[in-house]
Amino acid sequence: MRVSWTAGDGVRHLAFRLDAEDSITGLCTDGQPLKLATNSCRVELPHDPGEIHPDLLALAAWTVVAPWTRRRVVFDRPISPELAEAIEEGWGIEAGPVGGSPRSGSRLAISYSGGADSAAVAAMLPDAPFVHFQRVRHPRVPDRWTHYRADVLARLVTRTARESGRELTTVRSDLEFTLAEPRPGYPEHHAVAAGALLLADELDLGGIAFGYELGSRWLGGDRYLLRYTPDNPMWAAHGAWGRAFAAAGLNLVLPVGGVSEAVTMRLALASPLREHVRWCLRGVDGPCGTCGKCLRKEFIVASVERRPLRTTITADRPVARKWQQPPPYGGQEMIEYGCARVPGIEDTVFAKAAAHLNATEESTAWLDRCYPPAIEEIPEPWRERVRAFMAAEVGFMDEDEARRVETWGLREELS
Amino acid sequence: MVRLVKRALVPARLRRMIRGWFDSRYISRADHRQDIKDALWEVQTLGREVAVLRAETDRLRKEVDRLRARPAASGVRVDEARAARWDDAHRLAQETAAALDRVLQNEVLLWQAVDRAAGDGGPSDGRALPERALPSGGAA
Repeated sequence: MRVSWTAGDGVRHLAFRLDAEDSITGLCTDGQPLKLATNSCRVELPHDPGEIHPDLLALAAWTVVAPWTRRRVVFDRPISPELAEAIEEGWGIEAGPVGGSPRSGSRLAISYSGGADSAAVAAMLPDAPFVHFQRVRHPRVPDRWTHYRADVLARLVTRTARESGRELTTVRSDLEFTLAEPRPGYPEHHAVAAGALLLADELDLGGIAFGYELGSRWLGGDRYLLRYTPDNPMWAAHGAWGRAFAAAGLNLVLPVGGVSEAVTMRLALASPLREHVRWCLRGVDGPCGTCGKCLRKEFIVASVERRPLRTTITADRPVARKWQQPPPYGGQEMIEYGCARVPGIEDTVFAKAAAHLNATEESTAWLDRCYPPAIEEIPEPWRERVRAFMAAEVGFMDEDEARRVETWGLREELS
Repeated sequence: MVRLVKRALVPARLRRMIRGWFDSRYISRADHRQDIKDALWEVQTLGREVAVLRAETDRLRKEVDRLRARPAASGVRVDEARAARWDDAHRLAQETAAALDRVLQNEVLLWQAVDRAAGDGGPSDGRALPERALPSGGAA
């Protein structure tokens, strides 16, 4: 893979060319097969930061091209030996040319999506600036996904920042359209940080905080299913991506990596950003209330507030179909949590799931506390702050509860 | 109750006293009459309101019919031929978008072939290489 950046009109253009052994079919770090759509994309920064450290440009490009790179990656300017080594060790990919020295920074920014998890991170770090990624159309790829309202979300995040007095940088990019299949989206989950990477020097960033929570970090959430993932290659500090970001002087930080979505929801709903929290990507005047994400998050809100489920979605709707099947489910820990707490669950679309899971408040109580190893992997400059917040607001799991995390998925396999 | 008292052989004074006692506790005939009149008036008022609402419903129904009919008058009614054209345009848009996907992918592959022919196609220059494994989480 050969990568080059060009700058013009306040926009950074990324173009890449496949080596002979590269292919337009590839794999995301989480194992999902991906198909390339096109080999160019752009990142629009609100103002041109001028000279950008080559490691930052290289890593931003790597978050886009990694799935399709088989043997080597050649950047258009020399990267530090540290970053080259991280890519070599993490992926077995030869990266170059090598030269120059690594960078560092001191501040921590939040990759802010507007959802409950990033709002929880924001509640924990009230003075950290936001960087928001906004999807825009690609000039070469037809947009067949206009129901995805990145513009609405960006406006909401802008208002959130203004009303809460936060520093916000919104970065617009079409990089998701480099992915043809399964559909446009981040080629690697880390591509959401492309803008933060390009702005890291200007904002003096030494870390970027994400809202990835216990399920995503430790329980193999999303496209992983039901297993304890201490070596999660995407989000572990010592994983391939964690080391690559650290080498570029922008540490991955997961302030809510040790707590479940129940806790992040509780923190978000108790925070000053409460009114601005929005996880739905479709709704225009408020959440659509009909997509799968709205259903899942409403379920979590209901379980946190211990009230009946408020939804018009019925069991025959496609978004509710998976809850009519037996487990496993993605993010199953929260389904168990909700089934044990939402009153009248037997009259909801989750009735069948609840019958299968047999969860109780006792069996899911561990999801109300913080998994201590998640604090230990937070980089030193921010660790004690997160630890103090968790101790004051959430509390830590005891050994038995921590064992629930570490044996996640084993019981189901044994039974 | 009053009739019952009448039938019994009760001294007039006592009868009057009892009647007075009852009258002081129960609504008088005149009041009953007034109550019935009031109720009747209420019923008539409600009847008039229902009539007004029914007229309003009829008016709205007519308005809906009128609005339904209006596109036909202004010439954008979707007849069969027009619907067929729109379906066709939709199909064409989808097929064009899918075709463009393939064109873009072919462009990527074409550049890959050009680079290979120019001897700039990477370290192996076309020799088969094993697929790389997923990145590992631990210090591999």
